[in-house]
Amino acid sequence: MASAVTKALQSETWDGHVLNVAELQRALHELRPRNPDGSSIALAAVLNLVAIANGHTATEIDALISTLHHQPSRAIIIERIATGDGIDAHLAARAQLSRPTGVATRIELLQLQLHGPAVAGAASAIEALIRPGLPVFVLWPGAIAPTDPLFGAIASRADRLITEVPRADGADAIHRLSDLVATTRPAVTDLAWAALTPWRQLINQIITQEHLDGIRDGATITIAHSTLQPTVGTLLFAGWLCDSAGTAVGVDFRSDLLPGDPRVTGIEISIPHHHTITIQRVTGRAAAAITVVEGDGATTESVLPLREPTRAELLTGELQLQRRDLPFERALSHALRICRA
Amino acid sequence: MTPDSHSQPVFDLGARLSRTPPPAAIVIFGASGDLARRKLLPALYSLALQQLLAPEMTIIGVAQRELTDEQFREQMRQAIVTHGSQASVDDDIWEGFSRRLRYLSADFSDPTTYERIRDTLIALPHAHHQFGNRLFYLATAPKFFPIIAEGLGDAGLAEEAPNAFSRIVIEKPFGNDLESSRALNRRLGAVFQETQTFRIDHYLGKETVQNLLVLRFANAIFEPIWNRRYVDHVQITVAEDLGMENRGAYYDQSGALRDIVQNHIFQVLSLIAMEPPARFDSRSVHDEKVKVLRAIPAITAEDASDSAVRGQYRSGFIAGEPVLGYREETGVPEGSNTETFVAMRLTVENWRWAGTPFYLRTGKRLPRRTTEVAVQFKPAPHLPFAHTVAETTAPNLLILRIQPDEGASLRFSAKVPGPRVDIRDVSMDFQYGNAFLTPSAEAYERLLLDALLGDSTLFARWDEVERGWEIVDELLSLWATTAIPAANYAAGAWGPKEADALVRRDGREWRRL
Repeated sequence: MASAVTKALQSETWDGHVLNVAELQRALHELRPRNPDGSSIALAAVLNLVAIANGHTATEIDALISTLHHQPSRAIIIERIATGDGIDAHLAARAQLSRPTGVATRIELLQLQLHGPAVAGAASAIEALIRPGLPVFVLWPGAIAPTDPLFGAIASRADRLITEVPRADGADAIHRLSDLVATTRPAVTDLAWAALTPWRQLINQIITQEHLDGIRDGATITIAHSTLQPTVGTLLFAGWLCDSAGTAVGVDFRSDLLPGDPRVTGIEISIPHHHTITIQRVTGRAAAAITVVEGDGATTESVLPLREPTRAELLTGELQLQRRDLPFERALSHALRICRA
Repeated sequence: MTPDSHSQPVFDLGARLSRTPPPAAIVIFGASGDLARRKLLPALYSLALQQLLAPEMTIIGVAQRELTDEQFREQMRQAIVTHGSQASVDDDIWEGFSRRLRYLSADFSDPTTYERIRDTLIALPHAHHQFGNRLFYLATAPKFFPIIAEGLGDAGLAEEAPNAFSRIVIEKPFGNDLESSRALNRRLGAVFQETQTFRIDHYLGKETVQNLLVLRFANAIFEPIWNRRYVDHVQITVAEDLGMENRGAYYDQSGALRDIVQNHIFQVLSLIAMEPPARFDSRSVHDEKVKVLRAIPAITAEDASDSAVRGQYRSGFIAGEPVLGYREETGVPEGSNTETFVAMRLTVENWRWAGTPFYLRTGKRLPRRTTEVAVQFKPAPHLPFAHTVAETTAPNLLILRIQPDEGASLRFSAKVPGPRVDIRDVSMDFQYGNAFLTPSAEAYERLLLDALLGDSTLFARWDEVERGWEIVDELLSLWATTAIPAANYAAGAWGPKEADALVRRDGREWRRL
């Protein structure tokens, strides 16, 4: 049976059309969880997440946030609509249960549709509604838009800016991300980079000191991808390999045109006179087939886990990091060099 | 925390990536037993899922039971399904994982066993990729520890090739008293060096125990007040509501002092009381912990009655249900004198803690299961309020909850709204689950990974173990030769009344939990 506190944590909502943020703040106050005697229940708070619904609806972003394993204490979803006037607001205060522990996190979720003239005030609305004292994470899906006034305003307010550039953008996105890292204050990352974590961990898992010495003496690495041109993720992967393996390494790309979401499909590391390491994602399985051919022709094969994290898992991982992601920045720098070459 | 040696080379260890141990053969003695099935194999499978085991990693189970490789694999799959943290076993991952599993049926006392293990290791398909790296995990009864270690030594398996490791992992009890512990260590030490020996205290693998270090040393607000000047006393409680659960025969040889105090509680105490280490590497952390233990005077027969209380539960009620007394439990000898409850008052005689007592208590069949550290601060030196108000103000209290409801809370005083100055205690509460939905990793995952990486920070070093025994050794002897006042607390009570008297003598009370 649910306790009084659990009941107090359950979802409560408020909907309205308002013309100022003060009304939203009052509504948020009303939605605070309370004990049966009326006193407030204080819960640990971790972060603000501001998500701009570029190309998505607020409801879609809400669904994404509700599946995160690292919940923001307050999430503000901004949808900008050219027509109409004022702010349509849907406020929800709800509990997210941790299945293993049964302990709840509390999230205050604000879906705001800014209409017409209200769009211009988006940044100030966000500023007034973020929960003070907590770090601000910003999720910006879609193309990076330095000329968008909202982008500039929230990028300067964010502690961490998480972009999700269109995957097909490739070289263009690398240029934009590089400019962003060079010119903005917050720590920047992109979900395409986060998606490479299983691949990077797999490389770390496989590579021995002997391999590493050979690679650093000069090796050729071929990255296979499922698209016609390398995507931003493929280029970041190449950048990371160059950064990690050293400048003696040459990186090539190979297109294995495949349907479905863009992805890295395989990698071949060829170390002259030593080893050839081939890693191939196994289609339809969360696994990769690894073949190592040694200098004398001896071959070993194995199958290792290689998951494709969901979008929610990627975003969860990013919300757990608060510092600058230096390997990302270095990989980006090398990816830019590859694009220019 | 950094590995001591032999870590896998890494392309890059930036954010999100975890260090992968180098390829090795893991040999588990007692592989058909409870520990292997419940903890070790599920932990290894989980590490494989997290991409933390190199493809050449091989796991060889060794036990007396006759099993084929296939039967062993099937049993381990069942064990992972039953006891693992995953909802199901992924067929694809299992396929790769199970290929690494081998089984040897062997008698630990037979010298040829170790020759067979050596031959098996040499003949492994990936042997040349493992570079001679070996981890021997002794999930056996303690009586086999020296026998297995010596067998491995005689077979040349304890020797480390250049740039390779050979490590042995053992789990408490590390002896029954100071003498037997030293004897065990002498025999182990004749074969494996201290740097090769990893003594598991699974408490140290718990996320919340590790968080004690983060809380103390990553938050600048605590360190200035973490001393005798501001801390009145510290209470460490490890309470269990369970009884013997068919472990009566084992427990009766051990008792609460050996089972919990000498290891788990002393480990937690040393983390709470230690000086900040210069670095979070194994040696620096161990050095600081052992300094704390050396600053605790050993309990002598003369001061035993002032420093320690023991108890044994009789029948009573737990959560409304009637339960048996200790001496009625299965496997417990009639008239047993073994303690199921211990309360202690210890002092840490150094500049930081002189005059600040540490009260420890642990027991079976206490009202609830809870493990916590309570740091009670001294009262405010002067309250500029009405006398009656000042009387009702409790000192600040920092609670570090290790299990369940992992987290921390701080009690402080606040004004009750209204025209008068009324003061009430309020609690600022942090629960891990309120902030982080991701569940903590199993302690054994972390500890196995660290053992493979050569990072002994979260393991007990010999001098810590030895000092732990030194502190309680005379007390153990005393209690072994004097009869316990029979069944002196009812199941469901917080121990015998003498435990209350132990703290009341100092004008203090146990926390009501």
